[in-house]
Amino acid sequence: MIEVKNRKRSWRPLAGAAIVISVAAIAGQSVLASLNATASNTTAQNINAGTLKLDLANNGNGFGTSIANLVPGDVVNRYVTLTNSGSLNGIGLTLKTAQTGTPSLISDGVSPSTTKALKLTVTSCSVAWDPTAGTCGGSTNVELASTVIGSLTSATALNTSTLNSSASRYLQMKIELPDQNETTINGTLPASTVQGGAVNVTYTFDLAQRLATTTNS
Amino acid sequence: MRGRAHRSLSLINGVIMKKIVLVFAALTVFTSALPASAGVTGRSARTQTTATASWGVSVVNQLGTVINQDYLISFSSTGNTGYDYFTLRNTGNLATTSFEVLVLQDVLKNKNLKPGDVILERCDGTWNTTTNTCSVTPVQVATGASTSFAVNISLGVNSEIKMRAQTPNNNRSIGISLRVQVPRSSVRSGQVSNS
Repeated sequence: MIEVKNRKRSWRPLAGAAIVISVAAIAGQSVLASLNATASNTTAQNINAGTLKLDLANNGNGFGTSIANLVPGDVVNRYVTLTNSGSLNGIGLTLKTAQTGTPSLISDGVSPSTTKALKLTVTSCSVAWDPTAGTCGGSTNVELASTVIGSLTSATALNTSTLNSSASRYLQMKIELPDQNETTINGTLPASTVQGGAVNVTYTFDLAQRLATTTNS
Repeated sequence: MRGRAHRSLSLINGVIMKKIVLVFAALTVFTSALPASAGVTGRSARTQTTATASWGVSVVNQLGTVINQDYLISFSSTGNTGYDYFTLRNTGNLATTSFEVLVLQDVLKNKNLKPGDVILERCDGTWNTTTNTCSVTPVQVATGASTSFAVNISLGVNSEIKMRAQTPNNNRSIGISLRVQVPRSSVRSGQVSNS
């Protein structure tokens, strides 16, 4: 008797499932049979993403020619032009440098050494610089005050940090070896000297996109 | 038996699920703490080499060896007179306008020869080391008793000033050495260039 009861019970879930499926099928057919209306744009909407492109060009020798035979007190001005050739306005213009080579030219000496390393000053001109005369026909603005080259390894904001699409920033890159005294004895350079050294400096300019906006129209 | 096994399995699953939930919670907190994406960035970079000059003058002995330390005068005798020929060469890569030579006296080695008996001479022509003469009149620049002498002559890169020391007495252990010093002020001043 118990066995018969158990058999009956095992069929109950199956029967229930069959009923549910049947009801769902009937209801579904009724939906498919209803009316539908669709609307769409006849011409596909064009959505373009903006671009941000920062070009760096030499004005005169710029970064294209090495600087040689500097002595303490020398100042070498090189000129470059940054252009935002993308379609987006840019913000947060920064400069950082990476350098390898003679340590005394990268960072100031630590006592008892008194050596002074290379320094960089960046000045912009509202129009293109004359790279031969070193003159600006417009107004100038110091973008980066004189800074030891080894202190620029982190991105440092330039004073004029925006650069709109198609706009250019005309820069004077002033490299300076501060005046300092060294005496060479018997042709042997002093310890931690700034003489006879070389540094490879990589200048990296970064420009970020303008702030994202929400528009309604 | 079956029931106990089922409860154990449920318990284990529960523990694992808790761990998974905790891991996801931690990941959610971590990622939300990260800064927002920087968006589009334009970048330009260039590398430039900057090199510095050097200045210095070294003694070069009669064998042509550059002496990068104090130069100990060593006489070779000709009769009663001892001579030591050497040059002062600009070994830097900048022209010098002047420099100084210190005369260092080592009393212990001076023996019975007085430093003042040593004469330091410059020949602006050519020394003849066989006849011990200069093609022009030599210039006495100092004696062994001097503490230093200045050379106020412009000296181009790798150019040399021809010198000799002589003593009327034949003594090879005179104990005098020379030290050449070139200060920063001996080379060109700083300049501003635009290009």
